[in-house]
Amino acid sequence: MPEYRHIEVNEVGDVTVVRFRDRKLIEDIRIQELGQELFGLIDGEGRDKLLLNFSQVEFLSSSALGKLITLDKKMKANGGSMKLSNIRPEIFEVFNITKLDRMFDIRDDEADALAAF
Amino acid sequence: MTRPTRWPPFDGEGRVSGVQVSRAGNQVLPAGAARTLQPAFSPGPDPLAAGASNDLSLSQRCLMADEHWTWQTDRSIPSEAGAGRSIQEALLRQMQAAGWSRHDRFSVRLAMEEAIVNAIAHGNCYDTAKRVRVRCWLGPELVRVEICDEGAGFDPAAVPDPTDPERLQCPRGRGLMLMRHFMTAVRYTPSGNTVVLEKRRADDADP
Repeated sequence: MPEYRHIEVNEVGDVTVVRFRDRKLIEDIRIQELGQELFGLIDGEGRDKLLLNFSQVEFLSSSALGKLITLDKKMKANGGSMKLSNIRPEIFEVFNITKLDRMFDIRDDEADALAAF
Repeated sequence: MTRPTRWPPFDGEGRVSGVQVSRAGNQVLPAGAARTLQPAFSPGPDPLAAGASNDLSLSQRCLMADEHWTWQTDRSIPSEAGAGRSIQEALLRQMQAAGWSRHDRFSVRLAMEEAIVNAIAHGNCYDTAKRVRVRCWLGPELVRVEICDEGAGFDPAAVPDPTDPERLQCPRGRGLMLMRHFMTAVRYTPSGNTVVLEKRRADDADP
C-alpha cells in the first residue's frame, strides 16, 4: 500500500475508509497533495467505495471543497460511490450554505456511513 | 493626513490606547504589550467612507463607529499562497484570549482565508511584485478585517451564485458566498480591490 502524507487509509469490508491527518484543510500545496493522494485511491488503486471520515478536521476552505467536488465527480465517473461522515457543525454549515450537502452523501458517523454502502 | 473619526485610534506601533479588556471586563493585556506594527503603509482613509457597497443600516454603522478597539495590526504580505497564515493566527489568538466562541473564530478564519486567497490569486494574480495589505481590529464585541490588493478589482455583484444547480459541481466560486454567510457584514470599495469584513460577537455561543 502506498505511503500517504495527508491521509490514513483503512479497509472495512469492501469500503476504503479515509481519515485526514491534517486538522486544517487550507488553500496551499497541501490541498494539492491531498487531492493527489485521494485521486490516487481511485485512479491508481481502483477503489470504488470511499468513506471520508472528517473527525480530525477542524477547518476547511472553499479550495478543499473544490477538491472534494472533483473527487466525487471522478468517483461517479468510475461507477463508484463516496460518503462523508463525522463532520463537525461548523464545517457542516459550510456544506449546507453552499448546498453541497445535497450533492454529497453525508452521514453522522462512520457506522452510519458504512451501513449505507 | 487627517484620519476619519470612525477610523480606530492608532499610535503607529500596533498599540491601542487603554488596556485590553475581555468580554467580562477583565484585563487581558496592558497597553503596550501588543505587537509591533510593520509600517508598510500609512493609515489611509476609511474605505467605507467612500461610498462602498453597504450591507448595514446606518444605525449599525454608527454602532460600529463607537467600537473600542483593543488590538490591531497592519501588515503587508507577499502574493504567495499561505502568506496570510500568520496574521490569521495572530488575530485568532487574540480572539480566543478574549473569549470569542469557536464558531465566531471559525467564521473569521474562513472569511479571512477566502478573502486573502482571492486577493493573492485573483487580485494580484500571484504577481510577486504586488503585495496585499491586511489590517485587523479587535474590540470587545466586533472584529474588523480589511484586505486590499493591487489588482484591478472586480464587481462582487457579477459573481454568479455557486448554488445554482448548473454551477453546483463547479469546484470554484464559493469564497464570496462563505464570507457573506459567516460574517456580519462584507463590503467592497467601489474600486473592488478592497474588502472589509466585520464580525459581531455572537450573543449566546459556546466558548
